[in-house]
Amino acid sequence: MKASLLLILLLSPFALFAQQPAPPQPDNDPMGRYLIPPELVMSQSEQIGLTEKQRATIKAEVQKMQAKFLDAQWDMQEQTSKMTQLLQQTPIDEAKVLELADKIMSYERDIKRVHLALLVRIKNSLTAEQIARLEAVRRGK
Amino acid sequence: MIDDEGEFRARFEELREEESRFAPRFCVARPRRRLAPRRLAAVAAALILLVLVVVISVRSRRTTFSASDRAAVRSIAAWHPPTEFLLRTPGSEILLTTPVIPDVHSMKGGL
Amino acid sequence: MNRAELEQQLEELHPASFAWALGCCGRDRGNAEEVLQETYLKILDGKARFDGRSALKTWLFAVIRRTAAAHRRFGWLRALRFVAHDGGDVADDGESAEQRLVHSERTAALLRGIRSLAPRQREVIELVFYHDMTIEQSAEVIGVSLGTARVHYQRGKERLRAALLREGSR
Repeated sequence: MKASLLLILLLSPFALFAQQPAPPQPDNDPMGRYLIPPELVMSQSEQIGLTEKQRATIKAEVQKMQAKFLDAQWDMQEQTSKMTQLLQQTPIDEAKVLELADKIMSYERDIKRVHLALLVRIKNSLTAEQIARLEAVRRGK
Repeated sequence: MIDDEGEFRARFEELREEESRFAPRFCVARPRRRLAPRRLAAVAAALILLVLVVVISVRSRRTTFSASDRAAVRSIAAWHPPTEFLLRTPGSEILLTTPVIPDVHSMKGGL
Repeated sequence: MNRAELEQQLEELHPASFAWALGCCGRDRGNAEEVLQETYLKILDGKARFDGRSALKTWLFAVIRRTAAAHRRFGWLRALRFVAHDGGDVADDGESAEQRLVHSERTAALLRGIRSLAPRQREVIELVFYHDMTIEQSAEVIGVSLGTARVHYQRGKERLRAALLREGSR
């Protein structure tokens, strides 16, 4: 058997059992599947009968999120610039890199937290019927 | 983001230079004004009417989601953490794609 | 700070204060001059007190802004001639040629772009680029949080960029 074909056949099981996750599809997303994308809520606001109070709540939460998101990105940018400089040195200062990485990952955590809080608050502002209608639209896409 | 700022600063500097010519001399004058007493009741009635109009218009205004709101939620959804690369193993693109098995009959020399 | 020192500081900041008052009054020179006069009187009469918590310029610009807002709210009163000036003069009927500022085409295009911004965006953009303030100082002037000011700054720059591109394509 030709060597290249043998190699492909031997490697293919590893493709099936790869540990590296692919980007999650909606149905395979263990957490995201239970939250509604804000853009979907906005685009379907008429169809699901969003009340004025709900609109105002969602708009306020989006604006709060954006302010915190921009703040974190702003502060993070300074740290990532320092990191790129450190990583270009020879040798790399491991202690400083890890210290900076901790700061950067702290900002990343803050951003994820802000995003998650927005998604939760938006879902909490919707009725069960509205959620059901939005999920139906999402499945239909 | 940074590239615009130089252009904006230059344009605003031009505006500042032009408008500096129009600044009046500094002085603190004390104008004396009095409210015409005979019209006080009419002013009060007009103020009440204005407040009513403002309250009604504020209540009937509908909150809409602006392009900026949509852009804001899109931007955080599309955001990638700078350290995301740490979760990608080298050569992972090979593991993520399905290998293409060549057609045996088209291979020169056969198996 | 005593009155004389305060007056001296106000005089030093007068050109910048006038420019900011112009911005707060839609570039109407007459209104800007009135607003500035009212502001100076408020300050020198002790109705607006500087407590030293921020820079004088930041505080002064906040007072000008509030005075301009109050001036706008009662502009209709003056237009209806309910307020009589001493000597019997009535309010202006409209903007005279002397009150209109003359700008070059290039700065007129910038002003059209600025006018396309939402009010808070316009304020932050002018404070940062015209008056060389930081975003934090602009937040103090307009009375919002730093985060909110950054949002206005970001959105303002995007809209202004788009407006100037449109102007450039004319």
